[in-house]
Amino acid sequence: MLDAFQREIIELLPRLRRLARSLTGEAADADDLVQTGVERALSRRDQWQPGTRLDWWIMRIMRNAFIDEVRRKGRTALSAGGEDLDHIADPSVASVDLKIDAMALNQAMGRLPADQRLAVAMVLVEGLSYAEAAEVLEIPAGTLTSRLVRGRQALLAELGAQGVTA
Amino acid sequence: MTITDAMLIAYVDGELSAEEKREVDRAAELDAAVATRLAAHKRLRVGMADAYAPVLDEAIPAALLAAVKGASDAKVVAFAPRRAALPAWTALAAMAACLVLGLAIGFGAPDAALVASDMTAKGKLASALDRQLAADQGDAAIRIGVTFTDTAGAYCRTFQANGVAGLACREGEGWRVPVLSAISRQASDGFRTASSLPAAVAAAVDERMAGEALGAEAESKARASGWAKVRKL
Repeated sequence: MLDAFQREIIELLPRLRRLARSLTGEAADADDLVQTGVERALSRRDQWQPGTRLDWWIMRIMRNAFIDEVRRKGRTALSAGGEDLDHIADPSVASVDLKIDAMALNQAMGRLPADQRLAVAMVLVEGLSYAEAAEVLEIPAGTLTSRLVRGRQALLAELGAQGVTA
Repeated sequence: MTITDAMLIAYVDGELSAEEKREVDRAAELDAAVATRLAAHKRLRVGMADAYAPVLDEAIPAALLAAVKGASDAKVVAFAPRRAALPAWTALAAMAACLVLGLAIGFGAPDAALVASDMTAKGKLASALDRQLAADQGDAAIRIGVTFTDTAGAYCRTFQANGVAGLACREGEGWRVPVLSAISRQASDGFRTASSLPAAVAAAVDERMAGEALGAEAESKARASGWAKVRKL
């Protein structure tokens, strides 16, 4: 039987997978990241304080794992995207136009430095406010906004260079 | 005043005060360049949300569910070939429009659900496990593979349905599903032998099986007994 903690995690899985997909750009890497997050969360569950946000706690664990992975791979961004773009969205769900945009966006996300990708993902994918995103990422508000601005300028520049209008 | 990208971005993110918003609105009305930049940032915000939203509707890979479940059930089989198996699952998820795990968390039609969130068989899977014999299953959507007794004398049956294969073991009046795994296309033929099962399921069978798989007659008798536990001497 699953306990309440595990059931809560299961309910979070779709959102955690979405966040991870925007960070890694590719389905298999994203699920590996979620799996690492889930396994670490379960092994450290005594460190989680009931009454605080479980989703944010696991996202922090995933952020750390993501940054470790990017560092481990050196200067190369974790899965730059480009090969496996059909995994970004289920083609049967997305319209053709949306899919092109989604692919281009995913590719552009993959070229951002990890810290900008995290800031953009928290606000644009997870939909957090600036205050919430800064709290999850444990960075000052000013750092968050500067990463958000630089990240989004780079995304628009990238999409413009590809001839795709965002 | 100059309207910076930071302001436009804060505008589309809903982070500006009413006064600051009015300033941006005024600037966009007076300056087409500002309006164009503002529109681009709006489209980017919407585009990003739309790009990743479909992930929410995808079936959750069995390995992730097993990872959550891992802590409560030490007997759960480690998904050793996880790295190699993941691409197959994702391809499968894309191929199979059906949602294989109708976990009661808001996606999939309720009648598509095979396994409850506590990993017990439900719905059509539960009735197939109760009633279906391997020798006589016609073109049933759920296929029963091997039936055997585990080391504690409980009946276990392998099954496959909708791109997943798993093992179910009798527990009380129901069936517990200790392992569930996506199957690659190649593995979906010749299901009768354990060797064609996904590695995780095959490993779970190996771990639990006491003696031989049941033949057709023994399987039929076991069903007649209501899958009552076999007494061990």
